[in-house]
Amino acid sequence: MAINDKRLEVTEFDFDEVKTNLKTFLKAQDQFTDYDFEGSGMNILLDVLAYNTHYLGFNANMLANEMFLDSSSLRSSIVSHSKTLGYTPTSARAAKATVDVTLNTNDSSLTMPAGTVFNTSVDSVDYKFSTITDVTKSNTGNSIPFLNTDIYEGTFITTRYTVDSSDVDQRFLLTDNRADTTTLTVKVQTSSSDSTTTTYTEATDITQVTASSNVYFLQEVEAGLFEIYFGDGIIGSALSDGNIIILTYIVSNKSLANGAALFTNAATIASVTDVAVATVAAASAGSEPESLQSIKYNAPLSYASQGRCVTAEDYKVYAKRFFPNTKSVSVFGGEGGSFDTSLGVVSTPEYGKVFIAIESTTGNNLTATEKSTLISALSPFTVASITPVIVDPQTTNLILGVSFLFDSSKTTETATSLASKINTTLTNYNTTNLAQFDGAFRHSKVTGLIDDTDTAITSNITTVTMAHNLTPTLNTATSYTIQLNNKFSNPHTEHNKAAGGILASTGFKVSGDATNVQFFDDDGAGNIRRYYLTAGVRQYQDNTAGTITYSTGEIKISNINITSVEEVDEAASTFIRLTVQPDSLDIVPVRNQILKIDFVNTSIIGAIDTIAIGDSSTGTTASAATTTSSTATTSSY
Amino acid sequence: MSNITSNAALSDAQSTNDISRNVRQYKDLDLFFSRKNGTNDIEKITDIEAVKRSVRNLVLTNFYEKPFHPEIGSGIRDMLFENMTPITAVVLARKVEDVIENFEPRARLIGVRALPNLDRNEYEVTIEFFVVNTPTELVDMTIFLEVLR
Repeated sequence: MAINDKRLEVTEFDFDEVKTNLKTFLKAQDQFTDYDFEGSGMNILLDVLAYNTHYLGFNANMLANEMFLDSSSLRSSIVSHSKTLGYTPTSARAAKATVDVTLNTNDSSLTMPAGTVFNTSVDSVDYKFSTITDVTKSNTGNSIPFLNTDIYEGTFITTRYTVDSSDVDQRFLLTDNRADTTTLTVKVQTSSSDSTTTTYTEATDITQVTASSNVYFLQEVEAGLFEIYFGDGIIGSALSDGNIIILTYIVSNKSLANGAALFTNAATIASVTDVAVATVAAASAGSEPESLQSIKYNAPLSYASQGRCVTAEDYKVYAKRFFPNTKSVSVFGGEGGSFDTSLGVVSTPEYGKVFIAIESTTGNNLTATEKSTLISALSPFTVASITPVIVDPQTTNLILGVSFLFDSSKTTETATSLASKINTTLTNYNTTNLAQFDGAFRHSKVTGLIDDTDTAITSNITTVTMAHNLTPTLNTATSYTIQLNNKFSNPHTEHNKAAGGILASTGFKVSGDATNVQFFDDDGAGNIRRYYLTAGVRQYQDNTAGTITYSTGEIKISNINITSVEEVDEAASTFIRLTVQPDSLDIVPVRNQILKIDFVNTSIIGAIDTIAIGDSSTGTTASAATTTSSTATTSSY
Repeated sequence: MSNITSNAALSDAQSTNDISRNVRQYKDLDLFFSRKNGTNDIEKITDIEAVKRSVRNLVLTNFYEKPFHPEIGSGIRDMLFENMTPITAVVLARKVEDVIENFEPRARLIGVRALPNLDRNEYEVTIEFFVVNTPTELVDMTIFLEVLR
């Protein structure tokens, strides 16, 4: 009977497998034989044993996962691991706006207290913004102006704790997980009878902290709350019993109030009823607490950067930390290019600077306030003599022309429904691979993805056109330089000269001609030409309206006074779309460039593959889907 | 919560063939954990008694009671909360039949009767079967089921 008296499998943790192993083990004895029957007492005992083993195995597995930053899934674990790397996750951020508040009064000076409330609304939902510090200003005539006052969306909260060292569990928590720690001020009052208060600042670098430094430390704890704790008298000054800790901070609605631009005071300010509030900068930068994925990504990088911005990766980490709405960041040193206010980002080196291009999650460029806030936040971490400069991302749209053939005997789908599937494929590609810095367009990968969209698709031919939206300065003679950073198609000089070269544009009107809608094209020899159409024939107005450098992908438009812009995509527009045919089918973004597929103008056309369905008279017709040219040589875009 | 009382099969005096040459004897753990006379070992139950105990266990098991095997059980507890009628009794008997047919291969079921005893608010469930190892002896066991609360 003892067929299996030495083996007890221990590699399985699944309930049924554990139970099977126990049964196998029990086969070695004949004291009890009924373990195989579901109703038997032995079987119930095995249930208990297997359940216990399974439970412990699961527990051990979860425990092991939570022990490492890479595999942990609980926020508390991830935050704790990041703490060992010296990284504090960013809290929820309140939307911040800047306003000029003017009190029309004859008083000589007044104080606008912390917690002064301003009302606003976004999408018909009311929000309250508050100041977070007391500000005192003097009269400038018959009013007291509080210029460039920062106000934060949310409720201004004050939390008090009395230090009691006999309570070993005492903790000092911000009471809400929507608290914005950047608005936190920490004051310590000596005692209930002595109202002397000392302001404490956050310790960011312990090498600078002495035994008498009035600093506090910040950490995230369970449930997304933040806790502050104080020094021990050796690193940072210690608190004593009876001290009253006063925490003031904003509890916000995170990103909901972003965009609020019109503010009114909720009540009198310093007893003044005649108050004017003017918006300097609309509300922005409200955001969710840092996501788990982001903490996992940033904590090791933050540790690697050692509190310094030296390499491009360091700047990426700090840009994300100080501007939480960052979607992606591109950083390049001055040796690799520079920024010129009129030319944009160019390849000319400019040493001593580092250029940071940030794509915001809102899709908008950073406002001037956001840029200057970020630069001042970065300055303590940068290497001396290096100046950070924030530049806007430059979007280059890709217009695809997809012609595919499909085997109609393999599918019940129509060309239209397959086109819709391909559109989804391209949308996914756009989201995951493009639409971020460093996201290059790889033509063969895309055509492969299109083929793999459905088994019925037999082949595809996909053309690429680059497009740039140029926003002109209206009614002022201005020159424009556009760097697309990818070589343009120009197989020989004067290529396609008669039909308009490889450049095309949407329409616009220029000063001196209010009737004719003008367009750009090129002569294949490096010159940009301006023309209008009469009965479909190009009437050239200027044969040297600018230059186009095919080898570097640069378009320069000479001084031109544009008075109005025609519709683009059948909608009123503020920009002119320029399209060019690139030399290579792969498009690479450089420096601050971002590639995106333009789905409005991308065409996806399907046809039945006559070879695949066995039509013998094929050969000639099978190539019907081949397009002759992808280049927009007219103003059709 | 309901609770179920039943007669214990512990004192059953059914015959067994408890000899060492019998390699097909059913041997199970006594879940009442009675002590073996003379030693501190746990008592074994065998053959008919083991099968009866198993049948009892199955009848009193509810769905979702066994870890990871929600399908094992009789579901009679639900029936005890139904109105006490002859029809409920038939359904109850049917459920008992099902669980034995499905999960007790050692019992060759002859019949299940459930008699409602309205005065005592209980069912008297009588199960008749042959144990496969002992084909000559008809086993007749009775379980009383009542809702305590």
